[in-house]
Amino acid sequence: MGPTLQEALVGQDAGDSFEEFVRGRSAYLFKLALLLTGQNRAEAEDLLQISLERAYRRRALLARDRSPEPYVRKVLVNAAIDRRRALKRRAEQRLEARDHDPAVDDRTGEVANRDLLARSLALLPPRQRAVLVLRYWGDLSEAEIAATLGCTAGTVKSQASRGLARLRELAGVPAAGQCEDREGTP
Amino acid sequence: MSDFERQLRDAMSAMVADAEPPPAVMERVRRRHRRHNAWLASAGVVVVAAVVAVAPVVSALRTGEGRAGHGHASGRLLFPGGGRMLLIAHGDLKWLYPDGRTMQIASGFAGATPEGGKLLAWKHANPAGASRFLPHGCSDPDCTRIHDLSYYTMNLDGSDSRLVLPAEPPVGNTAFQYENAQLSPDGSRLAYISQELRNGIKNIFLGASELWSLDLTTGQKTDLGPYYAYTPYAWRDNTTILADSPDGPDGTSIQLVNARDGSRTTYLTVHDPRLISAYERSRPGAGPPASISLDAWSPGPGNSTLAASLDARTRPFGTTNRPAEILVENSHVLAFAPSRSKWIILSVKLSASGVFLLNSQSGRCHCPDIWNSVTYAGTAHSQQLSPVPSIPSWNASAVNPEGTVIALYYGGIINLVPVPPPACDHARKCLHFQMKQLFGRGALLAWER
Repeated sequence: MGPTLQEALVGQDAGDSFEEFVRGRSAYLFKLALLLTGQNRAEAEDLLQISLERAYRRRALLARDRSPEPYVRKVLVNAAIDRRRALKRRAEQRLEARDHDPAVDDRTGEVANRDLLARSLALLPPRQRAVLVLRYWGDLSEAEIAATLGCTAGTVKSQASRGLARLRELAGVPAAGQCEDREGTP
Repeated sequence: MSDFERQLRDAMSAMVADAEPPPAVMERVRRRHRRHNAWLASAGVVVVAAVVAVAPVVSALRTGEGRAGHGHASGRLLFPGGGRMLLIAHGDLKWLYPDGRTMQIASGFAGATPEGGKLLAWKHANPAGASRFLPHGCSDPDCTRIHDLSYYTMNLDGSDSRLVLPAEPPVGNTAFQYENAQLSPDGSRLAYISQELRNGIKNIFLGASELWSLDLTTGQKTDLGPYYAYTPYAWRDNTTILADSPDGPDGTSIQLVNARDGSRTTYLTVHDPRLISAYERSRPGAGPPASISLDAWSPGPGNSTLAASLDARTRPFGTTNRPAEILVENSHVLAFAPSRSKWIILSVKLSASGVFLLNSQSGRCHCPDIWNSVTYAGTAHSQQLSPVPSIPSWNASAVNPEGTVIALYYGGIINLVPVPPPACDHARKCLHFQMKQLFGRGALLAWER
């Protein structure tokens, strides 16, 4: 029996729909990669390439799904975590304002706070950072994050809680309970 | 959401608000993908070279003597099961014998299948104008190769090669792809599917697809009517073809098509009480089957066997809902539904020995990359499926003529495992051995006497 056209066309159709997906979602995925890498553009570009290439190899299988996005997101997030783990654990850095940073040059407190939070985020352990990024920027449910990371929803909750606490600590923001106590004090 | 959480969300949004992905992402992905494949191919060559270089040494160490020489018989068999395997490596068709000898058949081909004492082989012809049919976004030469196959018949040793169905160059913006060609059992006719392709501004569009019959003596072609390009069909005898109804894979009958005039008669319908009963036994509570599609046909060692899929209803994307594979041998109907998972794809491979292989890919979510793949062996007589201890996935499979050994090809390796009982009981001789692997011999096409 000769080769079927289906094999060729499935690949072709899958390739076309995959291109559509990349056109439509590469900006979102690149932003996700940037956040996961702590705004390391070169690393984010690498992660995007790796995840898209892996998905491209499986495009015929993924074409059976409505969207390859969950798969690409999963590869991206896990590759980011693995890559961070593989690197030598970095010593924590002091979060001092960087004079050359335009965000700090802008004297508004809001922008400075954002900058501080962004840099604090980059210092979190990769899995905690991934949970916070997916939850607050990606707007994913706990179940979706659990599926992406390959863990339970309970783990997602605890990682998010620990990540937020560490972030407050790094950014010098009092814990929620402490704020409420102080605000509630006459 | 607390104030802090809102600040965090806003901070993250602000961080990446102006971020743009690198230009030409898709092109870079494709380029790296090609490099990756090229690397794998080179790595494969290196591994094969290493294995070839080391094998005689290992063999000598084990047996205390050197190998007689490449292509010569040695005391130890290269593979169990007898017969000979039809392989293809780098366009070369060859027979591989159990003692390691090989016989070159022909070069420059893309594949072949033995039928009725002949070989039907096909090669890429790349007719003039084919490059106009590059798929959208495709920039490498391989993309021209979806519509340029020419078919040849030849003797099993490669002699008397004859071009029987040449690829035709496109006319204007229209081309015809000849695919899934099959020789009749006596080799007098060739059936094939002709798929019309139309070259649009941005993409290739599928036109009509039809089943055709070609008389190899007179050269007369007969249009056997519309047929879905990707649905199986099979020669039942030298003049009739078993095929799905023109409704395609969701049809309700399998039909007999006269290869001389295209007339059709119903062979098996989804309303057959035997099929309904067998299906409902294998899929309790699913209700009666709603569709039937042909999977395979084998004349068998004694009685002929037909394999078809039944399903209560079908889903898009080729994933079925409650499929069962049925085997019809004479008046006996067996149905197999090896998995109750939510997502299932079943495929079957019949062999002339009477042993069939049933592959089940299934999972609990719509996530094919983590589906579980299991291969079972069985016979219509044993009425029982036995899991085949093997690699989880394979590209090609074959059972030796005696029905005792299964060959599964994947990633450049031919994996050989014994047919498990009770399926091997059919051969009255079950073999027992650890899985054997053949490296770098080529891709498996068939296993013949």
